[in-house]
Amino acid sequence: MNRKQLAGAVLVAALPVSFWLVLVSGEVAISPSEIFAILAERLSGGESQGVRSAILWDVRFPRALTAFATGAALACSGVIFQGLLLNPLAEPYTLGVATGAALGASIAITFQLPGITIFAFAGSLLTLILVWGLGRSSSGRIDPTRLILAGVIISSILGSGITLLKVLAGQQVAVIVLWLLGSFTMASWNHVALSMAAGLAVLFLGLFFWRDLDVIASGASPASLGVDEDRVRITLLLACSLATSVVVSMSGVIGFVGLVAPHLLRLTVGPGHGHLLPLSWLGGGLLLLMADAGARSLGELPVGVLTALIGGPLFCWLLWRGR
Amino acid sequence: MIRVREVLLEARELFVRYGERVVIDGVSLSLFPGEITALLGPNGSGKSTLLAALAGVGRRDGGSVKLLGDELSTLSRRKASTRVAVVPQQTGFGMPFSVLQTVMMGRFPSAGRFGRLISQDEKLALEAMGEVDLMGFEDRPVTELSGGEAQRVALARSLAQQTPLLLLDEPTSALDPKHAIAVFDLLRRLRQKNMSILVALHDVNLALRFADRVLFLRGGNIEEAPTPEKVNGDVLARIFDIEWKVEQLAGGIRVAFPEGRALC
Repeated sequence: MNRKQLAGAVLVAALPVSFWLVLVSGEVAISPSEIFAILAERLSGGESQGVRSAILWDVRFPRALTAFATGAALACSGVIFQGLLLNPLAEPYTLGVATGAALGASIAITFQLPGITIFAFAGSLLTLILVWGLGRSSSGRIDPTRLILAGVIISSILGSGITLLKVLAGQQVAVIVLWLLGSFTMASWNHVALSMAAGLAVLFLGLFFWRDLDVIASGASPASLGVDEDRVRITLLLACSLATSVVVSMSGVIGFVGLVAPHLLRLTVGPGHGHLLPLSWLGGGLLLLMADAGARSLGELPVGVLTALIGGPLFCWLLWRGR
Repeated sequence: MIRVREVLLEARELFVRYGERVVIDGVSLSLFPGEITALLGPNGSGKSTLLAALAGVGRRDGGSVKLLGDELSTLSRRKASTRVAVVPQQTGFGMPFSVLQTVMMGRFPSAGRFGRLISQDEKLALEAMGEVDLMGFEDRPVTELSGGEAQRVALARSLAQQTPLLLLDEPTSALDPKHAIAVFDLLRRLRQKNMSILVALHDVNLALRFADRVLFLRGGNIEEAPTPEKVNGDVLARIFDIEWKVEQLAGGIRVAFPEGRALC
């Protein structure tokens, strides 16, 4: 068994175990056999059967699945961003979509407008349009360095807007701060559907272009190996940014998953995208699922705090190791 | 002179300009199977630009390039990459793919998006690695290679493409003499297999020794020496703005070396 197969086997085996752990644990203990009973009942079309059923079906399931799908989407996007932009520090937030979402959400919270998610998504999309407009060169070509710079600049401008809103927000400032740190407490089945769609779209689109991604990430001249570089870059960068907008608008800005999961897996199984993408999908999903479980067991810490606490030192270690 | 041979690549009235500056100014040339053509010219004369335009991987602002009878711009990028391979001057590598993985990328254009890479593809990749003295390097990350080894990986990747036309941009700039000569011996073997090779060079002597035909690029235009024997001190002085001496050694090898002061 080679490293790729081993990594795949470990992640696939960890999947049911992790979900199991997350679903049974909590203030209200639900036994494994009860989970099967409730699941069977719900899937056969039964309606709400008491509090325990509601806790499992309406709270724990959506939360666990949303956390997993969000982590999967962020990790896959991270793999694609790093490969396409040939920059190890690139991540799903590189084109500013997270800061845009944060500003949108902050506006909605400060002025107590309805629909934080809608504002966040709109902010994220507008930022993407702005960064894309500024980042592409006059000939219409995609220049990674320009795009990254445009993302950094626009993000820092929007970041100061968020700071200003925090000052203006009065009592709402705590709500803004909590939103920014990310959380899955509000996850519903709608969130599950949207974040799963985002995560799977990124995975399958990435797999569709995996050879092109390999060629671009290898640093070769892509055109001489039959790759239409601009088309691949435009399609994947926009698709990943959109998917990231979707998950960030619902769950807040959860850092480090899109950076650490791809790097860890690339170290383990190498840079080939054919296996790196599905493994990152699984690995990122599991990472965020467990981080959220940890956050929940520590008295509902914002999950973004935990991912930064785990991810930051892990990234330092990766950096140290790669000297 | 009339050639009654099949034309592999035919460029007509090629123009490339960067802003106001015209780099390639109406170049026409033909490349034939079983031939090594050297492209010489001073720094900045547009050798790389011309190669990129001929392969369809760079700018082209006018003119036509026909590759095996088809206009290059009507071919998909992938299809074109099964007919012409390019070894660029800069062989930078990004992520740490292994040498074998990198050379296998040369098989992607033939395999297509989802075509399986079969043992035959791996055989071709390993053969290509053997041709450039890279056996035993299969699992080495390309990011840990020396400049010369990296250049040979790029060459092996292009060989794995199995194209009838190979364009090389300074393929020996990072190679020691042994590997540089080995590369030209390889090019001769490829010529035997009826491939057409266009190689941009700085080293006039490599061109004199190995090329069947020499093209000089200067001021955006091509001047042709139909055989290396026609390359003399006058031609070289006109192209490179410096006096040259060309002498014949015992054994028939001709050597050229720049002499005296620059002419401008």
